[in-house]
This record gives sequence, structure tokens and C-alpha cells, in this order.
Amino acid sequence: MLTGTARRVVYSGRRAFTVVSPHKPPPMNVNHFQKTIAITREIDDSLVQSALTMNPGSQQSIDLELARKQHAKLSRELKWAGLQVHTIGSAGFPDSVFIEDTAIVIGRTVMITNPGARSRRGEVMGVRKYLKENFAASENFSETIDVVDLPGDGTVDGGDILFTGEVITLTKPSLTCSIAA
Amino acid sequence: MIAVDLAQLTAHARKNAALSGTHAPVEDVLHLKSFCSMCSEDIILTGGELGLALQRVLRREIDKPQFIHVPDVGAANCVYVNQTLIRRSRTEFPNSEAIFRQQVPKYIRHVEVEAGELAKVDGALTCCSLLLKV
Repeated sequence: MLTGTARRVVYSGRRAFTVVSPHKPPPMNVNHFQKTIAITREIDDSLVQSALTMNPGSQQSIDLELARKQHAKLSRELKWAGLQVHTIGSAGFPDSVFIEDTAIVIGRTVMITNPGARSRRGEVMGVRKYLKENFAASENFSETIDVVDLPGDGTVDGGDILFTGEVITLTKPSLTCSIAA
Repeated sequence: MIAVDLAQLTAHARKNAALSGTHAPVEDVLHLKSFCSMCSEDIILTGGELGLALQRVLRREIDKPQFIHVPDVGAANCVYVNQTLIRRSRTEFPNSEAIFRQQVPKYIRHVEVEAGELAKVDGALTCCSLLLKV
């Protein structure tokens, strides 16, 4: 897995070992993992009662204050990683904190999704509005983004898309039906 | 675009877990990134039996994929951005800690966060943000 070409020779006692350094990061202009903005969304009070989950048993034991503290810590770490963190209000949606599912970001294009669970469909409105108002045409940033809606009648959550440089997606029609509210 | 079917993946993962005699259950998951994420520009992080099943599928579809595998599904979702890996803490997933320390490329800064509360409703780390470059 170590594919770097830089080598350094480590001397230990009388024997020399050659160590292959992990490869250097790729140049900035082709790096899909350099970002400047993070959009997060507040945890709604209704998370404990109404958020979708595979584990309704553990859901009831959620400490909302602790969840918010942990969420705030994550936001701080995103800031310290060099991102400008924006936070949108929850608008009453129990799953609103999981903002990743509302959009797929590839390069400068943000594709607003049609989330699989019916109870989450409304979440995209606030996200689309915020993105269009703040980033789609602005003198504040060097590049703007294109905010588009994913075409067609299908559903997809951002959490089902892994972007590696190429898109990997998970298909799960049975799951969508069983948790749709 | 590579499409992976969750039902098939889960079936394969369960069959493999039974064959290899592991007693760890194959959990039901909400999303693809419940058991995988990127942990560098090039390396896909996978977790648990579903992660291994995903690796088997992707090795057929991708030329020379690179993976890091951790035993804990919950540890497999990390945010990788700006050469920083934001991941679950060693106190939450002690069995995965050594793998992160040893296998993630050395130019990457590790940040450990605790995310146990949102995890109770299957929330992970990438779930909580949209990352843009403007």
C-alpha cells in the first residue's frame, strides 16, 4: 500500500533498513480533498423522538446536550482544519443534523438530492436556499458553485455516495421503502 | 460510476462471517458511508464485514484500489479534508486505533472526536457536514 518513491535509510545497530516513505500528497490543483467551506446543521430537539434509525432502542437514551457538545467539537475541528464553518438552523426536521444526505458535492457542482425517506424530503429546501444565496454568485469567494437539483424521480442520499475521484453509490430500494415515513 | 447493491453486499458479508466463524454480527446500516469513507486522497477506509465485502466488489471494478480496513464499522466513517483526518476516538474504538496510527500516510494530521450520541441514531462523522471549495 505504500506507494511512495522517497526512501530514507534507517540505521539500527549494525544493520541498515530502507524505509519507503508514504507518498506525498498530490498537487493542490488536482486534490479533491482541499476544501474551504463546511456547512453544518443544528440538531433538532425532535432527534430523540423522531430521527430515523436502525436502533430505536438506543435512540431513547440520547443525551441531547452531549450530542450538541460533540457536534460543536466536530465543527471546531472542521474550523481548525482550515474550513469556514457555516451552520444552518434545523427547521424542525429531526434528521436535519445529517446534512450530508441533502446534497452531493463534486468539484464546483452541488447536486441537491431527493432523499430516500419521505420525512426528510423537506430538508433540502433550506440547504438549497442557503447555498444559492451565499455561494452561487458572490464577490466574497474566488470561485462560485453551481447548485443544481438531481434530475429524475429517483431518490438518493448523499451518504450513499462515496467520491474517490470516481463515484461509488449504494443502491438499496428495499431499505428506502422500509424506513420512508 | 460504480453501483453497489446493499442487499447483495449484506448477504455476502453474512455468508462470509458465518464461513470464517466470526461472531461479530453484520449490522443493518443506513448508508454506504456507514461502513466506509475516504481516509486520504487515494485510500478507501472500510470497516467490519460489510467493509470487507465492499473491498471484494471494488477490487473487481477499480484498477489497483488502496484500502485500509478497521474491525469496527463505526470507526470506518471519517472526514478527510485538507490533509486532516477527523476520526472517532481511541476510547470509543480501541481495536481500530493501532491500524489508524500505523497505516494512514504520515503527512496526514489525525484528529480524534467523540461522536457516541449521534451514533445512537446511526449518525457518523461525514453525515454532519457538506464540504465545498469556493
